Amino acid sequence: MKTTIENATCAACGCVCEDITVHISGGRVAEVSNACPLCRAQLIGQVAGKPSPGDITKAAEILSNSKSPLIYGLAGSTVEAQRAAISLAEAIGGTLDLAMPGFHRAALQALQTVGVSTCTLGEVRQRADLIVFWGVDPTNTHPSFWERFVRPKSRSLAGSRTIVSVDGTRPQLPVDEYLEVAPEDSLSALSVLRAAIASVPISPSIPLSDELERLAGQLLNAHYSVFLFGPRTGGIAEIESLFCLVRALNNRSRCSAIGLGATICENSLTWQTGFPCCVNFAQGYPSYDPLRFYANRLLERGEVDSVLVVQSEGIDELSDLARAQITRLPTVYVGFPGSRLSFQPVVHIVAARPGVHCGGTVFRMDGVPIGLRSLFKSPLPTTEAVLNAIQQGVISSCI
Amino acid sequence: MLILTLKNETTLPMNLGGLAPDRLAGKSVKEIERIPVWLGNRELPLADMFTIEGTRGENEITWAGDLHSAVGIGAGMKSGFVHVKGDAGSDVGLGMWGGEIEITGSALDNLGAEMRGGLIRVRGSVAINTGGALPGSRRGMTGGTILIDGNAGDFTGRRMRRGMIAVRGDSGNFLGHSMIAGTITSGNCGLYPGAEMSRGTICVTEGEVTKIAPTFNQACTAPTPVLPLIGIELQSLEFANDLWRASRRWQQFSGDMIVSGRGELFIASH
Repeated sequence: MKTTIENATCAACGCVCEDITVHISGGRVAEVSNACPLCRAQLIGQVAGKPSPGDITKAAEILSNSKSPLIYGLAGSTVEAQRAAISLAEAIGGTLDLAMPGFHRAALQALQTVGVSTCTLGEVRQRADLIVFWGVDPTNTHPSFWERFVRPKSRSLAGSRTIVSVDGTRPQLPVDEYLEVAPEDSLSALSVLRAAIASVPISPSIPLSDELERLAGQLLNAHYSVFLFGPRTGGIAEIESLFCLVRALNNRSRCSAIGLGATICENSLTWQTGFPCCVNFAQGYPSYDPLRFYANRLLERGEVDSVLVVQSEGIDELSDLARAQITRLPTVYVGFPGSRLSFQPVVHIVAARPGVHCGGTVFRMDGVPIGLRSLFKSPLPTTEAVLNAIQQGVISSCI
Repeated sequence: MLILTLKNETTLPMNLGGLAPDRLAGKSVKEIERIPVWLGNRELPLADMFTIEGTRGENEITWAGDLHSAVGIGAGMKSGFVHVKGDAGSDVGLGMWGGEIEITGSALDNLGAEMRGGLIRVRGSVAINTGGALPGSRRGMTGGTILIDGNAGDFTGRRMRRGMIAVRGDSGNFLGHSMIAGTITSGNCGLYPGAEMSRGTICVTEGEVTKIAPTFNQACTAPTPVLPLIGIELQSLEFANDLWRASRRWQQFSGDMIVSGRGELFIASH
């Protein structure tokens, strides 16, 4: 039997495209149209799945006996799963940290310190007349970004648009201008731009000062400029400087910054605890420290005695030493069918993939919540159902 | 004097934040043994984790044992003396008001972060954000002195408002980042010392800096009357240095011009 699902939503990257057509034949996804390579790789071949009875009681026992448990992962997870994970972390008095790329962590800290003016991708698409890719090339990570938001077929506001790339290597995209700035020189370049915009004189012998002066002129003349930053933009200092640049430009015109990453997974944690990541519940209330409670450091220093990994996507962010530690600890894994794991969990529970086996809500990279629909009637439990069951087990074991 | 020795080595986080000498002063040993502390998510009496020697809580504590996973030693203390035999963990002297802490080994992140007064000496090295601001906070240390014999990690003195940090070894990247005021001296340092500093003084005594932000203006290379005074002050704290030599020549920069340009960066000239 063949079925076609129109306007399906794909959560393979932070764009969360909602115009995918999925063709199901013989109980599996046979073809997808209007899709990028990432979406095709994620959806083609998906089936309804068979439930594998993971040992919930054993998982609850591991976590409730632990003095310093860690819940880590949740990359690309739904709001519903995040809420269940937060509730479980509170019940077991553990640390909850989210898998996210380093630049996104840095951006969260920069946001807390200096703030940022941001916008939706709809505004990028419709209004921006100057787009600057700073240390990021979406060709492979967000294949549909260019045609959906940068050079869309239809755009309600007429007028020209200039695309600039500032990066260590020339992007594969057909940008209008390219400035070669190595990641370690990112702060220098941002400082030169900020000085030019503030009319502060600096030494003319600085490399690229003419090109950066010209970019500063373009930024000052633009009606709506947008910075898109990513993995090669730099760390906290660079992203803070970028946010300060955006703030300075807003005195003259409109300017925003958006991180080009995956779907956002810190919103639920932020609204429930006030903190976006690295939250510890050991003393019964949430406490936040991006140095102490960073999962990588906790694992490297041996400060955890059990781990619950929720979805293996994003675990590559951890260092080799931290990943080696996971293999030594009692580990519970809750993830999607077909997950490739570099460790052998004590308990492995297969859960439904949102947007394929179940619905849910994810946040696009600009913070817009988007609903996902299931493609199959799947017998697999959702991640939140599994986490809630583990929590019930933890509560039962305490009574 | 109280001597608290860790009974069993552990890598799990121990929160010792409430055990400042001024809070233990006057308490009997029995009372001190019953003080609850956190080991991970378990709340235990102090006596379960430490052997306690001494007659009565006085204004002096010695911590002994492998304390690299201990958090918050001397945090918030107002007076007294804390001696750590060996390594200490994170948040040592966090927000302290006064008194003195001496660590014979090394310490981890946030040493003296947001401290308001007092003195911290570290014989070994320290990790990230020494004397700095906690996430989201506008100010790092607002007073006191931190003396480090070894090396310091990145973001030393981030957003510091007042006080002094002296590092005999080298510092990582972003020394004195977003500094508001105060004084930092270090051997060599990594990328961008003083980036975004609005005021304050940074002195690189060994003269090697990986890169300086282009928004620092070089004024001159000459001796300066300020640094010998800092050197004499450090010598009075038994921190050996040669800043006091008035004949030393320094490359003098002012910056960061994108903020206010009133900070000073001195780099030793060879």
